[in-house]
Amino acid sequence: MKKILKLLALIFPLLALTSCFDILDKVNVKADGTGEYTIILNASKSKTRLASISKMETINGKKVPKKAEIENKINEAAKIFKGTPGITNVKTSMDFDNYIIKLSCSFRKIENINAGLEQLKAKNILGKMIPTQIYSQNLEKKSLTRNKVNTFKSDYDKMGKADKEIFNNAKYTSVMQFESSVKSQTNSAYVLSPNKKAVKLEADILDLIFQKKQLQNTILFQ
Amino acid sequence: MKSILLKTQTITFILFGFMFVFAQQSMKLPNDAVFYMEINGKQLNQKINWQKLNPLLHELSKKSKEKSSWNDYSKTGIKYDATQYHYATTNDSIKAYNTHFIIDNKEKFQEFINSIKKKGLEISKKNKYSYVDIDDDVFVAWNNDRAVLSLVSYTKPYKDIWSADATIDSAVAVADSAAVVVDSAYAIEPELPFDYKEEIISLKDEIKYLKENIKENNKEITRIQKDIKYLEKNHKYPKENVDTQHPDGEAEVYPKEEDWNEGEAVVDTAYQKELDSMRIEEFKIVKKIAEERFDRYFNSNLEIDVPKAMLTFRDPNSDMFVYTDYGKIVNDGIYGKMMKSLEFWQFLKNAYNSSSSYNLYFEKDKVKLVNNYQHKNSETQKTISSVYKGKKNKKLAALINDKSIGYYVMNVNGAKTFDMMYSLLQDSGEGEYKKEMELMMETMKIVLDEEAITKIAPGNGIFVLNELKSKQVEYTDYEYDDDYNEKEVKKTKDVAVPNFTFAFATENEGYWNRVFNVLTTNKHLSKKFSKTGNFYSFKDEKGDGYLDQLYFTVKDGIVYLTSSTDNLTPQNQSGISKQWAKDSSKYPLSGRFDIQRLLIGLEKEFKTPSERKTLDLFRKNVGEVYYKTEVKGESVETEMDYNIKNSSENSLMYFFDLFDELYKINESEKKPQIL
Repeated sequence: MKKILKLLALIFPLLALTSCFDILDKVNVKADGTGEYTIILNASKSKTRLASISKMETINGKKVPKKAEIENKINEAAKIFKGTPGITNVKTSMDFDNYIIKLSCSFRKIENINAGLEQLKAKNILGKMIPTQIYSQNLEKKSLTRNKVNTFKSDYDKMGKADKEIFNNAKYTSVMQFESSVKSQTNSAYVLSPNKKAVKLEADILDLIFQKKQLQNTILFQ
Repeated sequence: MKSILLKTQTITFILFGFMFVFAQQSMKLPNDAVFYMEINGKQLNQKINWQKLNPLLHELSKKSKEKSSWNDYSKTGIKYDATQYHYATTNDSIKAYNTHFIIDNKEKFQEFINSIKKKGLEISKKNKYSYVDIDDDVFVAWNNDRAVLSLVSYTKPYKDIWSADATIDSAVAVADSAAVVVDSAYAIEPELPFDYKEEIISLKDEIKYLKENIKENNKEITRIQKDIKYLEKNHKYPKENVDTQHPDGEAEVYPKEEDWNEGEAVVDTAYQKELDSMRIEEFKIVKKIAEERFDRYFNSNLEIDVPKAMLTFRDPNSDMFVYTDYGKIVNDGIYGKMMKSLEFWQFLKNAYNSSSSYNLYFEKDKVKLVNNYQHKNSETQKTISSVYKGKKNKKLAALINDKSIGYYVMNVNGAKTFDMMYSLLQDSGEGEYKKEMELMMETMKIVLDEEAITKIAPGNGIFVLNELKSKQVEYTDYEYDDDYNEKEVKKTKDVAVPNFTFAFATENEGYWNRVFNVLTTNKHLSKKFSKTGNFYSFKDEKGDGYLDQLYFTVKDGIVYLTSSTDNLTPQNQSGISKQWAKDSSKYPLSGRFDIQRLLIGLEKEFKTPSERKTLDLFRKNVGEVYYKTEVKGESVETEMDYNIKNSSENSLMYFFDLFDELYKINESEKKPQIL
C-alpha cells in the first residue's frame, strides 16, 4: 500500500519526486587511540529537486533554510567541536552546487567525538533523537566498540507522510579504518577489507530505523 | 334517521381525525445533517460483478481482527437493487453516520449480522425492531424489511475555549452522570413511555458488556503491571524490545510467559474500575444515542423526509447523489469555533456559507462526476456566477494540441472578481463591524483601479503541459577502494523536466513589455535575463533545476511564458483537439489531463522492480481526466470525466479490478522471495 501512496504522490503534485541523500560516517583510529573523524552529508543525487526547493520559502509546511542559515549552523557546530577537549583540526566544507556538507576533525581518543556530539545536542544543533555515545575504545583489551543505539522508529512514526518520503532511498555508510589488523568482530554486516584494517557497513537508513540492520559492533585487534 | 346519519357522520369524522393524528409520519432528516447521500441500488447492482468482487471482499476480510466467515457478499439479505440512504450529522459532542437500507431476506440478514458481530453477544429485541452492536460504536437495527446502520462517536462536550460566554452547548442536555444525552437537535421529539421490560433487557446487555470489558482490560493491565515490575527490577526494558539482532546468548530478555504468572493475581482494582467505568459510560452514551435514532426511525413510516433544498440538483439517473453543507461543516465545526473569537468572523462566515451537490455516474467507459456549487445567499451567488461569464479568446485555444499531457483554460471575468470579493466579505446582517467593513471596501475600491488591473489581465489564461522531457544531470557520489578510502566520482542520472506554456490575454501590451524590459536592463537581473529577437529569456547558468531556461513574449494581445519557443508555433489540431479547443473557448474553466502520458514521462523515476511493476499496471490502465465548469441556473456546475482504458465491463468494476491488481502486487511483495 505504501508503494501505491508513493505512486499517487508522484502523479499528482507533478514535481514531488522522491529525494534522497547519503551519509558517510568515517573514523580512522591509530594504535594509540588517536585518530580522525569525518562525516559527510551528500544530497547531490537530489540536487535538481533541492535547487528548486531552495527557491521556495516553505515545503511541507516547513520553512526552507537559506544558504546563510545552513552555513551558520555548520560553523556553529564546528566552533562547538573546536571547543571540545581532545578535538583539534576541525574543518568544514559546504558545496551548495552539489549539496555536499563535510565536517572532519582529529581526536585524542575516540570518546572525544561522543563528547562533541553531546555538546551539539546540548546546544540544540543536533536533535534529541540523535545518539551521542557512539564509540568506546579499550586500548588494553585492544577493542573498539560501536555502541548500540536506540531505535528511531517511534520518532519516525510521528513524522508526516511527506517527511517520511525523505528517508525512502537514503543510505548510510559507516567506515572504520585502523592501524592494527582486525582479529574479530561481532557484527558480520560490516565487511572486512582485504588488508583486514578496515570495516564498512552500507545500509538503507530505513533498515536502520526499523532495526533490520544493526550498527553496533565490537572489534578486537590483533 | 337523521340522528343516525349525524352519528355516523360524527364517528366518521372522529375516526378520520384519529387517523390524521396518529398516522405515522416520515422521519425528518436531522437539522444537523451536513452530508446526505443516495445510492441508486437499482442501477449500481447491475454494474457490480459479484463473482469478481466476492473473492476480493473475502480476501480483505481475512485482514480484519475477527475473520468473517461470509463467502457470498451478494447474498446478505440486503436488497442491493433498492435505494440506500446515508447521512452524517455533527454537533458539539456527537458525530454520527447513518445508513438506511432495505432487506429482502430477514433470516439471511440476521445470519450475516451473526457472522460479523462479536461472538456471544445477544441481539436485543425492541417493540418494532431488533438491534445489536457490531463494534463499540457501530450499531445495526432491523425489522422485517428495513435496516439501519449507525456509527456514533461521542466526545464529552468541552468548555468552548474560543468563546468568552461559552459554557452553553448541547451538552447541557446531558442529564445525569449516566449521561443520557438528548441531542439539542432532537429535543423536540416526544418522550416514549417508560417500558420496564425493555429497560431490564437493556440492563442485562450492559452487564454482558461490562463482563466483556473487564476481561479485556484485566489482560492489558496485567501486561502493563508486568512491565512495571520488570522496570522496577531491571531499571530498563528487556533488550528484546529494541534489539532483534542478538536474541541469542543475551541474559536480559523477557522472562518466559510462565514466569509472569506469579504476579498476575495482583491487579490494581481501583484503576481497573476507573478504566472500565469510563468505557462503559461512553458505550452507554453512544448506545443511547443509537437507540434514540432507531426508535425515531422505526416509529415512523420508514421513509426519510429530506428537505427539498438538499435535493435541488439530484439527478434520478445518477448512480450516486451527495449533498454537502459546506457552510455548516466549516462554520459549526472546530474551525468555526476557533474563528468565532475573531471580530471579522462574521465576514468569513458569509464567504463559507455554501453547499455542494454531486451526481456520480459509472458509465461504460467513463466515470462522470457533476458538482453543483451554490452560495446560500442568492445575491452572492449571482456575483459568483458573473465571474464565470468571461469573454471568449480563441487565440489561447490555438496552443492546445493532440500531443500535450494536459491543459487548463480559464475564461473568467476579471473585473467581476473584485465584485465577488467585495460581496463575499460583505456582512449580510447588521454585524458589529458592518460600517467599518463598508468603509474598508470603499477605500479598496478607490485604491484599486479595477479597470486598469483588468486591462493588464482580463481573465483569459491557459496552461499547457506539452511533455515531460528527460534531462541528464551530473551528481557526485562516493566510491571506496580496497582500504575503504572514499573517492568522489561524478555520475549522471536522468530527471524529468516539464515542457510547458503559460499564456494569458492582456489589453495592455505596453505594460508587460515594460516589465520584461526592466528585467533585461536592471543591473542585477540582467545577468539572468536577456532579449533575442521578439523573445525575452531567463537562463539559470547552473542548469541544475527543473526550469533552466524560460522565454517570454507579448504578441497579439497575449503574454506568453514558455520553456521552449517551439511551443508557440501553431500546430495542427485533429478532430478531438479541435473539440477541446472549442470547449476551451466556450467554458469559463476547462481542462484535460492524460495521466498515462504523464507516467511515461516519469518512467525514469520508478526504479525498483516493484515500483516498475506498479508503474506498468498504471500505464496499462490509467485513463484521462477531462473537466469543464460553467454557470447553470443558480449554481456553478463542474463536470469531471475520467475515461477508463482497460477491458473492465464498466467504470465501476474498473476500480475494483485496479484495486485487485494493486492488492496482488502488494501481497506478492510481502512473500519471501525464493531464489
